[in-house]
Amino acid sequence: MSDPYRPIKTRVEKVITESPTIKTFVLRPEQPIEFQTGQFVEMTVPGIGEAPFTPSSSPQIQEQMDVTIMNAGRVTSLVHQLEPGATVGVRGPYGKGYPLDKFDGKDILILGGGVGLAPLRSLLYALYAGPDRFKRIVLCYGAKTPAEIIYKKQLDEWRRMEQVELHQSVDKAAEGWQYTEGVVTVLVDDVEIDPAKSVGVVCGPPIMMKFGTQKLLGLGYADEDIYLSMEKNMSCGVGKCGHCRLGPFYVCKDGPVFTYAQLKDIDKIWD
Amino acid sequence: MAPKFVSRDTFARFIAGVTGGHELYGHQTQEGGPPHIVRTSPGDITLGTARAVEPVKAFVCPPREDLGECFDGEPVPDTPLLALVGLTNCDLQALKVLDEVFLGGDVKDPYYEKRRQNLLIISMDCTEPRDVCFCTFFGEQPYPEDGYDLNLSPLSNGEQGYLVEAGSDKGRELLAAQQGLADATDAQLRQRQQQRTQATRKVDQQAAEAGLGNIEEIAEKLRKSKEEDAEFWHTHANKCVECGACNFICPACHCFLRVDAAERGEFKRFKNWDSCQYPAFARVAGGANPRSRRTERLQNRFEKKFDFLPSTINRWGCTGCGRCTEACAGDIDIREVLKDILLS
Repeated sequence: MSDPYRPIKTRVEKVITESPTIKTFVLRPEQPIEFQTGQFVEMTVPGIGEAPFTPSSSPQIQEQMDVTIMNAGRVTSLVHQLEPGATVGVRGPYGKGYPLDKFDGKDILILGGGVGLAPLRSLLYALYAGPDRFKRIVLCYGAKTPAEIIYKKQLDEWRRMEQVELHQSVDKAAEGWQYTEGVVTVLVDDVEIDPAKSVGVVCGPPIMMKFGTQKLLGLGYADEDIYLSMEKNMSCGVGKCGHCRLGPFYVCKDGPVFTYAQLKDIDKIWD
Repeated sequence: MAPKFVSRDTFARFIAGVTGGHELYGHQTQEGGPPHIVRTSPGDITLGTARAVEPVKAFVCPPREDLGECFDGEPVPDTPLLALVGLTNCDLQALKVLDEVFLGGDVKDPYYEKRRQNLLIISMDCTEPRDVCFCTFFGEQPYPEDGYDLNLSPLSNGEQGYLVEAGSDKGRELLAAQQGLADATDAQLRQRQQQRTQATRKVDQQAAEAGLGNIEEIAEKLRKSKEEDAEFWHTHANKCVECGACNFICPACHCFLRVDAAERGEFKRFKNWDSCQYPAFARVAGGANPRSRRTERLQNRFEKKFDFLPSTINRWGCTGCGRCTEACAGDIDIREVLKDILLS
């Protein structure tokens, strides 16, 4: 009998410091892990604990996987102490990712906040992997301060890419900041896009998810064209342990990516 | 296969005969108290008149399931064959919930599966349901109709012996293998029926006295109710001391946490029971907590049992056993909460 709670032994290949509180860990599992963009994995620190993360790397690369982790809790603070060569565990992938087939023929408007850019980076890789499949990808990314911006190298790349249109903001600018100051939703005001011919994707902290969704609704996006990546404390990953219940759903198996249409009648989805 | 009769004098021999090769757990009853299910021997079983304190889940998903070493080792270790004597219908109904949760869906829980397969269930009729029992409210009755291998109906609390009925192939085989058992007589079957009717009437009466009305109606109210609408949620939640007893004693509650620990130089994994009444149950890294208040957590317990489970596995998450009411340190009575939902 196979054990769904057993992780695959995984080597930390590289640790990239993204910001004072955020690091990306490049992981190499002993067996390749095939995932769809937006699905999540449970990462185990042996003897310490495990926590759910959505890979931030391309789903086309299976032998290696990036997870970008904010130092925010008991497990993540210990993860941040890991160095290259360390052994961790990875199990998954779990749940439902972004349904790219439903995005076909549409423009993609992406709103990302803070470390919420992690799953979105994986999504972006998947979106522009197929040549010309998605002609226009608009990324609006906000961070608290310039120092807290992650993936600076990728952001520069995306800025140069024809398919990708990048808008950036910080809540609080610093010297030398050349883009917008303000919350991420203000960036959307500069974007010319037809809600009927595009889909919206939102990922970030709860408050940003809430206002991002309201912004898209205000622009005329249909409930079912707004895709949200929900953060809950998934433990088992397979719909048994009860931790991640959200209304009639378990986020681990029914999500973590939901349409707003699925969630809008549930109480307190942004808490 | 017709029910058989086992006399009081041969009961221990009968239990030994059908549970051979199993670790035996059965009722131990002390004067005036509810039975406990303990590791026992055939001669030491003293069947109670209603369900035991311990819920059946303790035997199929123990409080701390050892999942072995983090990466290596046997995938799913063998577990012993267990015979449980004295399970009541509320526990058998709860097993159906647990089966759906752990064996249903895309992924089975192999630890549960192994323990479940290794279970020999010898259930019994309740002859004197406890005052907190209300199983008939969920359309059940205080005696099993399915879900057991063998069921015992004590006649006059065992003074006149037991009727034994098989409810599975395994049960029928075991019963057929016991030599010299007489078929139950018509008079004995009539007595069983009388006892069952009497017990059912007691539970019916208790449920009626609790003023609960209809469970479908309560579930509908719950779906529509918003926390802010009703003071009663706060009134009940204010009595909660967050001990988790209601969850741990409930035969149908099944939430757990996957835990890692270093033990004797090994990195081990565990599945530990968890309680949705604990403040950190739904908290995510960074501190956001969708259910930071006791009221929200109490509501979660009822939503899970009376909305989520019926809509996802088509079963109520409560079997009316009343254990949570007896266990609650804050005197929260599940029947009173249900009644308040109904009246809201």
